[in-house]
Amino acid sequence: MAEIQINSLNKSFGKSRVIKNVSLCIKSRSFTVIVGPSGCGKSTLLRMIAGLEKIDSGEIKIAGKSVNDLPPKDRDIAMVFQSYALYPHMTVFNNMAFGLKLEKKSKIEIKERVKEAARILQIESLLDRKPKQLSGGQKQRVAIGRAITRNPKVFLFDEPLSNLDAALRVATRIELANLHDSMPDATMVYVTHDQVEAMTLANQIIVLSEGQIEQIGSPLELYEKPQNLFVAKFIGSPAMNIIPIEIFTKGINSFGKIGEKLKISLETNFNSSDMGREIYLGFRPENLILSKKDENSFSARVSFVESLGEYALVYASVEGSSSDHDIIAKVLGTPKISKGDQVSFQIQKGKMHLFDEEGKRYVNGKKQV
Amino acid sequence: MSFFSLISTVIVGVLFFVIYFGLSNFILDLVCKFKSNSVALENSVRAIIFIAPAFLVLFMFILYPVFETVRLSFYDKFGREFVGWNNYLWALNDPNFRRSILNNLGWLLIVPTLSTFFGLVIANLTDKIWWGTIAKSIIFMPMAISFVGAGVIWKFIYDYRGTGDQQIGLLNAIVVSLGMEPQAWLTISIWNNLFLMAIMIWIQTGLALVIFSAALRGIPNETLEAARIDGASEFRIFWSIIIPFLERTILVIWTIITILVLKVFDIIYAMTNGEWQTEVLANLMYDWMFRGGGDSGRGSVLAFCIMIGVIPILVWNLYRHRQEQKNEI
Ligand SMILES: Nc1ncnc2c1ncn2[C@@H]1O[C@H](COP(=O)(O)OP(=O)(O)O)[C@@H](O)[C@H]1O
Ligand SMILES: [Mg+2]
Repeated sequence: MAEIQINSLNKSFGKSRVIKNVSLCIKSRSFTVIVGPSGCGKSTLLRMIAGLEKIDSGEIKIAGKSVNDLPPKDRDIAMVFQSYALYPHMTVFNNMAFGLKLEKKSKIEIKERVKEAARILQIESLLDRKPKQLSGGQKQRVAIGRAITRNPKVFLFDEPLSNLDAALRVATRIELANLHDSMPDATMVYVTHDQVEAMTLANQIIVLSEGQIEQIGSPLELYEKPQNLFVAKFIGSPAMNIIPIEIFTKGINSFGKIGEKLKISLETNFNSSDMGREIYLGFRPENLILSKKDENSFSARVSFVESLGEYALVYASVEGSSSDHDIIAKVLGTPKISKGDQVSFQIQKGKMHLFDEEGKRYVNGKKQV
Repeated sequence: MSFFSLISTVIVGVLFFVIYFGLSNFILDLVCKFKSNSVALENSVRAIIFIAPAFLVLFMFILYPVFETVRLSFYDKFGREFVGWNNYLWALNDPNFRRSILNNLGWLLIVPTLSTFFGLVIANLTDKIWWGTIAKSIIFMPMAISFVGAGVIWKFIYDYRGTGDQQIGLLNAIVVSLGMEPQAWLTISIWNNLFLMAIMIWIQTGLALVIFSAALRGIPNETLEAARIDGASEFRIFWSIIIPFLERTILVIWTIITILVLKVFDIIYAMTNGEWQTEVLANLMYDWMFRGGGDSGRGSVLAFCIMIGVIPILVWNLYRHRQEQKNEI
């Protein structure tokens, strides 16, 4: 039972505000991923939870208890660093046993717990080696092992996979997911800039940007209902297509206009007061279908096709009123189109995202998209 | 020598070497162009060309004197008549020589250890406080003072005036103000050695401090933080993480100070001149070599002894260096 509750947390380094009034709740036993672009304050937030960074104002509670004034070692946490941060002169065994020795556990217990962690992580054969003699992936396992042996309530991971090569990253990601399943009582907080890691690992994602929370939700919620433009663009790969659109007709099925000739049904109910508003239309590449020309389709000129066999990425540009807008479509199979073609796309029903002038998700009375 | 001739000597010297290196390199290039032998040979010849001048200087000013010292140690006080092992036998039976050996051993045990220890601890502590840089500069300052200068300063600290007189020595002033008898510190044998060592420690701690401070920056912050999360106290971090991390640096500093201490001379010369049983080898050597007419035979024996003391440390250092290079490959 280790819920992490954060209330109006603030942190500045000198003049720059890094964490701006952040409040959130990390549910006990969840695998929560904090995701955001580099420099948005993810590490700082994590380090404040760990107690490595002083907080300017606000409160952090772990398991219902305020830890503001507790040193790291009394917070019942373990942390895995991006740089592994192994103790270079100690063997793998001693690296993993260090915390237990400090807790004055018996020799037998230490041995058992290290062996057990080594078994889970499949590093039993490395116990006598020094960190220098390990590969990046092995070092990462040892760093995770060091966290496991101490059996803390909360695990904190700071971009643990970013120093690994692509194949190893995928493999380790799956192992981390399994690790969480095998330790159901642990709360895991995982920081990454990689939205794929976030989507695959998390059951709760916190999207952070410039020290502020953009959205908290399950991976699916973020994918299907991004609350603002930032999340919309950040989650998903290739990123969501966003084009500005002018509200053109009112009523149950309002139309928006992109260019002089291009009009799209917005599946939303706008009033007469909304006429002429410039809002944003978002749609994911995978929600575009090639179609015949009709009233729900819009045409675009293909500028490039990346055919990957299973699917093809079609880069195209839509003629706008002031300038052209580049979009990407993810089309299954191998479509017979090539550079320079004029094609018609349709957005799948119910897969439109509308954002208002401030970039907030557009919600209107009855008909929320 | 006038300023002008000094400058012209320097210019001629520099020019000579520029021409030497330029010309020999040029000739080598020419030769190699026409006779394209193996690259390895060319490289080794080039190495010899560039090392040769330095080696010559080294030979003239270091190796030759070593041989000459060994030779002289078997001759009489004027370096004329061969006397066999006589000078060595004399040394073995000389109470001053024995005292010097003992004192030198004491210096060797205490000074490098304490200097390194203080340097390490202070480097670690000054890293944590905002006025650390100021503290470091102050502690490093004695490094800028010559040993003789340091001796003069410390003479004032240990200075002794008769009971009743105004004590101008810092130490005695303190002692008297605490209501105790003033002491002639430098004459209290055995202890006076420690008082002299304090001067050397005072100077060398600065050196150790600066090098350790730089080395401390090499320890990744995250490693220390990991230890902190693991529950290690600051002392434990120092002991279990920092010290092992600095092992190489500690050895280097310890060696540097050890070699320096083996040759310790100036401090003794300025403070006690070996009186009151504070004699050390270097001062004893100076005494025999240059005082009272001089005895190049006995002086050389003593000089040779100092060299014998330094050699194992140098060899061990070279060996370690090789070992480390091997490990890195
Ligand atoms: N110790 C520090 N001193 C000054 N600025 C810092 C410090 N740590 C982080 N920052 C700044 O705070 C911002 C957020 O950093 P960080 O939390 O590491 O970002 P992230 O982990 O999301 O990439 C960055 O702009 C960084 O330059
Ligand atoms: Mg970071």
